[in-house]
Amino acid sequence: MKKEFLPICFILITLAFQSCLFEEDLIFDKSAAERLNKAIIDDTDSLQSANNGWVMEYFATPESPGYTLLIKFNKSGESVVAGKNELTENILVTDTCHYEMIGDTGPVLTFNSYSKVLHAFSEPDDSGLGLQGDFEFVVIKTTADQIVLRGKKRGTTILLRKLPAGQGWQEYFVLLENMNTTLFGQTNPTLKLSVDNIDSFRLSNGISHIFNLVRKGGDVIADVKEKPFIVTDYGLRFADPINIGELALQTFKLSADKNELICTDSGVNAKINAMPPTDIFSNIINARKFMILNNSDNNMSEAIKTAYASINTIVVSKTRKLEYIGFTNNKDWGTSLSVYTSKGTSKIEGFLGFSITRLTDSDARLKFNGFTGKYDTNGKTYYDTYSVSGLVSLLEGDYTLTVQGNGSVFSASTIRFTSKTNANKWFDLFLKN
Amino acid sequence: MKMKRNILFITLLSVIGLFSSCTKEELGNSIFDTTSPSRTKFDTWLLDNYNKQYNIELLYKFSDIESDQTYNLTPADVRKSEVLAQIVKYVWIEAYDEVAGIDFTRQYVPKMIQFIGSGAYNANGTVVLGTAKGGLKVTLYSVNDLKLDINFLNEYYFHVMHHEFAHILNQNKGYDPSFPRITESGYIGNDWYKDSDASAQKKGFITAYAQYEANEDFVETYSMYVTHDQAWWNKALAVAGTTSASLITKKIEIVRSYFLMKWNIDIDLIRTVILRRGNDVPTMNYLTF
Repeated sequence: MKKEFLPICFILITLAFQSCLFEEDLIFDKSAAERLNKAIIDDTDSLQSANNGWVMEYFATPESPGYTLLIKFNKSGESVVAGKNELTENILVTDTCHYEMIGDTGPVLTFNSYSKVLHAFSEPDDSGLGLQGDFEFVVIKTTADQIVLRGKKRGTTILLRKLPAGQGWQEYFVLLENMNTTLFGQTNPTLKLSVDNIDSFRLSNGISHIFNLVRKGGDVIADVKEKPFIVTDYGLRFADPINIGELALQTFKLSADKNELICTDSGVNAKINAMPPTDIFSNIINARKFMILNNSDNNMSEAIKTAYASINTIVVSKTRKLEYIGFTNNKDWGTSLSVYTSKGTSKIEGFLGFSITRLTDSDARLKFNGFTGKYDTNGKTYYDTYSVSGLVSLLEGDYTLTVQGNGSVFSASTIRFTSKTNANKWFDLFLKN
Repeated sequence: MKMKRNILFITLLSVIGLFSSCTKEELGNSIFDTTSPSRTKFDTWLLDNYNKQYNIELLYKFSDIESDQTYNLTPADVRKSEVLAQIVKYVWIEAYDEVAGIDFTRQYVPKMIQFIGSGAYNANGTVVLGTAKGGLKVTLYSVNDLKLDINFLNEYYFHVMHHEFAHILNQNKGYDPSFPRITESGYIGNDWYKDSDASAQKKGFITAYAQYEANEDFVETYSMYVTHDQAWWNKALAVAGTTSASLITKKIEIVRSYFLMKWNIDIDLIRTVILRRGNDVPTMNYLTF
C-alpha cells in the first residue's frame, strides 16, 4: 500500500491542476476595477460637459416634495449650487461646495464639503433627523442630456437634466414660479386625473407639492395616497410613478393652451385637468373663502351694477364703507351671500342664506333661502334697510359658469355667471385675497 | 525493481501533466491611479503642516466610510475647516509640542483628524461633540457652528480635543486603578444627560458627563482642568462643597500623577500653555487659501 501511495498522490495532484487548463470565458473585456475607474472618468466628464449646468430634481426622501436646484460642475472639483425655496426663505441663494465622483459599490457623486443650499436638506435637527436628504448619489444611468441618480441612504431617484445654453439661472426659477402659479395659484384646486379618457382620480392639496390621490368616489381619508411631485419648467413629475395596472404615470407636460397636463410616459394616455367650473366654485367657497363681486367696469351687467350701486349709496349715507359683497360657506350660516361694511373699527358682516345647486359641470342654480327658521339678523338688516333685497332678487336664477382670466383654468380665481334665461344678466366673482 | 520503475514513470508523467496545466497569463495595466491628486492651496497647507510634520491626515471633506452611519451628518464648510485646522494645530498639537516635545506629539497624536459639519444627535437629545477611535482617529463634530468666542471654542473644541487626546494616551498607558473607586457608585451611564454640571460637582464629578463611567471621568477631569483657569476650578470646588470637593481633588491628583509619571507632563504647565494659546484664538490672523 505504501508503495502505491506516492504515485496515486502524484496522479491526483496532476488531475487537480488540469482544471486550470480550461479557463472561463470573460464576460467583460476589462476587470471590474478598470470598468469602475472608467465609469468614474466618463461620469465626471458628463457632469462637467454641461456648460450652463444641470437642473437637479431633488427629493429628500420618497415621501418629500420635490425641489429644484441648479448645479454647475467645474473641472476644479468645485460645484456651484443655486436654490430658491422655503429653506432659502424664497430668495435665490447661490453657494459653492466640493464634489467628487468616487468608487463605492458603483460610481457615486458626493458633495463632500458644505453647501447651505444643498446640505440644508441633510442637516440634522435636534432630533437628529432633519429633512433626511442625501448628498451622496449613486449614478444609475448617464445619457447626453440626463443623468439618473439614486440617493445613497434614502434610495430616492434624483434626475439631473441638462440646462439649455443661454438659460439664465434667475430666470429659470421665475419659470418654475410661473408654472407653480399657473397650476395652483391662489386656489389650491382639486384636479382630476383621467386615464384612457376615463375620469378616474382626484388630486388635491397640490400647493404642498404632495398630492392627495383618491380614486373618484373613494373615501378622502381611508383611500388617500400621498404622491410627492416636483414642479418643472414643462409641468410636473411625480417622485415615483402612479401605477395603474401595468401603466406607470410619472411625467406630465402642460398643454400649449395651459388647460391640461398631458402624460408623456410611453404607452400612457392620461391627463390631469382642472375640475369643472361649478366644482371650482364650490371648492373655493367650501374652503371658507369668498368669491366677491367687483363693481368696477366690465365685471357685471348693468342691472346688477345698478343694484350694487344702490346698496353702496345707502352704506355711504350711513357713513359706512362697503367692503365687499360675495358668496361663501360660513360655518354658522352655511352657503350665503355675505355683505360686509365698516366704519372705523366697527365691522358688520351679514349673511343671507343661499342654496347653490350644481345642475351640470358648468351650470348652477342660486336661490335665496328667505328668513324662515334660523337666520342671521345682520343679514336681515342689510336686506331690509340697505336695499340688498334688490340685489338678492337679481342674483337668483340658473347660470352658466365659465372660468375667466389668467390664461389657465388650473388656478382660476375668477368665474363668470351668465344667466341661462337672459344673456344680458351676468356677473363675475373674484377670489377674495 | 519493476515497482520502482513504475513509480518513477508515473511521477515523471505527473510532473509533465502539472506543467502543461499552467498557462501563462498576461498582466494587465494597474488599476490604481498613480497620478498626483489635485490639491487646493488648503490641501497643500495640510500636507505641509499636518501630514509631513505629524503624519496626520486631516480629513475635512466628508467620507462616508470614515463616518458614523448611525447619525445623519453633513460635511464641514471649507472656510470653517481652514480656520479650525489652524486652531487645532495651534491650541492642541503645538501645546504638547511646547510642553512634551514634538517627538511625543508625533508618536501619540491621532493619525487622522476628521471634521464633520453638523452635530451628531442622539435620540435622547444629547449631541456628540467628538469621538476618539482606537487611538488613531479623532472626529470633531459641529464644525459648521465654529465661532471665535473663547467659551464656545472651549466647550465645543478645546475641551473635546484634550478629552479625546487623553483617551488616546490612556489607551497607550493605563491609569491608576484606584481612580474608579473614588466615586464608584456614582457612575450612571446613559442617564448622565439628565444631570447638570453643578449637580454633578456636588457628587464629586467635575461635569455631568464625567458620571458616564470611569474612563470618561478621568479624561473629563483632565480636560476640564487644562482648559479652565484656577479661578474656574476653585469655583467648581466651591459648588461641590467640602466633601465632594475632596473627591474631585483626589481625582485630579491621580490625573496629575499619571501625566507626570507616565508622560512626563506637568498638567499645570500644559494648562498654562493651553490657556495662553486659547486666548490668542479670537484675535489670531488666519490664513486664507
